[in-house]
Amino acid sequence: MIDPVSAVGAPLASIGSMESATAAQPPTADFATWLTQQVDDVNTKIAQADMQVRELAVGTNTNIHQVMISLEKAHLSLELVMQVRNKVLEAYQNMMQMQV
Amino acid sequence: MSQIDPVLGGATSQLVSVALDAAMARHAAIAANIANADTPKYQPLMARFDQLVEELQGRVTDRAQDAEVMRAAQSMQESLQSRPLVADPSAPQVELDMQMAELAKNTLQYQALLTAQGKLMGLAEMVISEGKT
Amino acid sequence: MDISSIFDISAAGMNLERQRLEVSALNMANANTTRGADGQPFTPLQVIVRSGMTPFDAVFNAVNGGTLTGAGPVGQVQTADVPPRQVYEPGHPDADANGFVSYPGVNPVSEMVRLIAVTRAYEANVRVFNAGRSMAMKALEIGSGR
Repeated sequence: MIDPVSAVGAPLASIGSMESATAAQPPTADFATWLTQQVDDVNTKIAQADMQVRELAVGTNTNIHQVMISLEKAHLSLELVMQVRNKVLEAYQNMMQMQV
Repeated sequence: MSQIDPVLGGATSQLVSVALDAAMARHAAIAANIANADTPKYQPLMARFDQLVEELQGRVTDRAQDAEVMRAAQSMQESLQSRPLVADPSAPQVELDMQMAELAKNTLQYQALLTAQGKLMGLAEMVISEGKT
Repeated sequence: MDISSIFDISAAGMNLERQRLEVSALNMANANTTRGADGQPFTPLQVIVRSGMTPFDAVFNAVNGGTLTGAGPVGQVQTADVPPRQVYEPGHPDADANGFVSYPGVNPVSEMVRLIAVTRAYEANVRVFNAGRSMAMKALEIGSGR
């Protein structure tokens, strides 16, 4: 007979162990590398979303929520990269305006 | 970005456009069938498109074949203009529940395609407007 | 899971219920028919329902995550093996040697009960259909409303 209280605790413990695993990875070396990685990631996500929309149009994939989720993931990744780019540009322009 | 070019005017848009045309043709067939549900000796209609789509299905995932896919989609669109509806061999008479089911499926497909295409274009718009609304 | 197979299954269910309704209506209308157009006595009909899915389909789908299209019920119309109702009417043109006329063994009470069951089953199928459609339409709203 499974103790109901400990049954609730088991999934929570697994989430905790997942978090520590990702935190254990060291952060990437520098910002340029990270940005390039993110741009490639966005590229992949957009390509995947595009392919799924094609399959929806032709009829091979009728999993509508999967297509919508892929599109949303692509949108969010793209938005992140855009905002980072804007902030970096803004910071650069601020610096260039500084009186020497 | 190498993926925005296709998003703007490439094979995906062409395919979605053809699929939307096909959905309208299917709707016309369903509307005719439902309107003639009580007509004696009426032969139900269907959209001719569906057999043509089967050829495309294997080829859309390979981006190297995009140019041919676009040409095939273009010719399909033109043929849809001329004679979109044919007699349905599998339905000897109109069955109202099956027609309503087809109607719901078709409407859903149309709306899903429109929403998905809109979101894809939205990605391009975000890049063009540099993330500012 | 294929969204269109959800609609196909419900549509097959609705089709089947309509078939059963037609058969019931036919039986009720011909409750007092002694002879058909071909001179044979009228026998009441029934719909035998089987699932459209063979065991092989079930295995294939389980392995490949395929669709359930074709899993809906399939109805076959057959004559029911019901003994005819014998009524003593010696003056009837269709009376046999002993003066008995054979009417079809249609039980109006069970046909009416079947009618109610058919109506409820049809409504249930329509509800399932609408629920499937609402879910799919909601899926289209993922990521909108920002």
